[in-house]
Amino acid sequence: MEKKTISDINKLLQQRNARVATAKEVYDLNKQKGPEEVLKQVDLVVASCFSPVPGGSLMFQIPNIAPRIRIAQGMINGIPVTPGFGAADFLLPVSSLPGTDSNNKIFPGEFNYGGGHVIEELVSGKEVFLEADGYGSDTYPRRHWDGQVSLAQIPWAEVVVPAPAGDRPVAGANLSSRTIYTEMGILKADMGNVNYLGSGIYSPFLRDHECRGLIMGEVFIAAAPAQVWHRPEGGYLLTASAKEMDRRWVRGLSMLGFGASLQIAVAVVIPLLEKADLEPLLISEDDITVEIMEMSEAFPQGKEDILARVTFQELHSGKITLRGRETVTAPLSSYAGAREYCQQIKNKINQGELLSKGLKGAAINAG
Amino acid sequence: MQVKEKIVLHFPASLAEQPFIYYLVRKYDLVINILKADINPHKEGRLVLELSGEEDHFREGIDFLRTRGLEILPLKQEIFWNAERCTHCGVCTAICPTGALYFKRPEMLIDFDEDKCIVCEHCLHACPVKAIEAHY
Repeated sequence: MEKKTISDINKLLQQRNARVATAKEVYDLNKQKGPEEVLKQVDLVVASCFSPVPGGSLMFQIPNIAPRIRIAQGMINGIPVTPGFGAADFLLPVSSLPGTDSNNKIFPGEFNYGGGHVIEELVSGKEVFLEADGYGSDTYPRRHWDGQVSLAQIPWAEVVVPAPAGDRPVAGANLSSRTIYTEMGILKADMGNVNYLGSGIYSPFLRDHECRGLIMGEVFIAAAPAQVWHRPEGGYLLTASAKEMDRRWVRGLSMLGFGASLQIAVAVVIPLLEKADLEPLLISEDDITVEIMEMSEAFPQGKEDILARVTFQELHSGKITLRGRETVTAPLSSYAGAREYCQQIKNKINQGELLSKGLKGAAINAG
Repeated sequence: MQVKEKIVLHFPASLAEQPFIYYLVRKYDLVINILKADINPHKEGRLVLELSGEEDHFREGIDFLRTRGLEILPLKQEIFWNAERCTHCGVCTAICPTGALYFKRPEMLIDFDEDKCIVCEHCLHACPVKAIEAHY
């Protein structure tokens, strides 16, 4: 069958006739009817993840203040923040902590409140207490400003996360004889558990052939349309307005003994133009290789020690055999969350709430 | 009739050094299984016990403890899993020693089996979104 074009898909979207399927639905349909049928029946595929991000920030502008202030430093609910791109901007990393946090000195630290939690509070409509300090100048004479602010009162607020937003399929285990507290959760001694990241069949960045979804499709972070920035040295940065986000998908995280972070849902809408686009969507969880990294000695020392290579399916079963012993596995990425978010984005596209005018990427390449 | 129940005993500081468990065994003929024992810097104690024996003896044993000033709570009220807050990430499943927190498969949704919980409280700290709370 001949290749579809982005123009074709956009016409369908504008008529609300585009056929959207989740990554799992495409996989299942292919099993039943084969790839030709999938290409005939599906125009757009939604793949997503709901994982803890390794890093990210919120940048926002505080409400118009007169006389003007040029921010040199500030605080949000007691968390120090640095200036952003403009005079009245703040930059808040998801891992930033309040001055009162013990910073893991009382080990393992609980990290009950951090940048990620502030983002969750803002998106859920709560007010935060902002304090801004500037050293004063002729054009920015004000030296201090503070006030309670909610997201609605802020002119703009962007969440920035690097792709793959914590969804790279990787696993960790602990060979030492004491429990360690890592970005992959608590790893018990003597390979007591293997924790892993990744959303298997829903994984957006595994399923996106040549990043077509990122470049020509669409990305939605917590249901807000995202912009995709290509980094020359490789990789992508994703940004979306916090003001358009759904609070269900933005959660501050407290990783015991490790730090504060953010769990945020990212969906990539992939246009199915030709057979090659389908190939990554047909990889089964049995064919996704995941490396189990040693996290107690090798990783902290900057070395790589791969204990084993297993499939995602094996990890997903809840138990694996590692070095001759059976051990439990636990995910960090929410599989049920990825599934639900895929469905939500699919429904919103079908109902015309999203993409009713077509794919943004159409401006770059019309087919 | 034989009964078997898990209870949580709270000891005020004045009673923390008294051998109540001995009396439960000796006087009321109950089989005890200590699941967890804690004493805080204020000398207040908390004991998670599984008690089994004849129903009458069980009731009498509990009354005895109450009249001596201990607070007794059924275990179920201690750990509360908040389904609304849970993101179903699964980190708790590797931490829970009894499998009380587990995945319903293939849906990969977390569920909490109160009967298996021994109130070790490891989950409270492990849960990244604090979806598990201890209620006293």
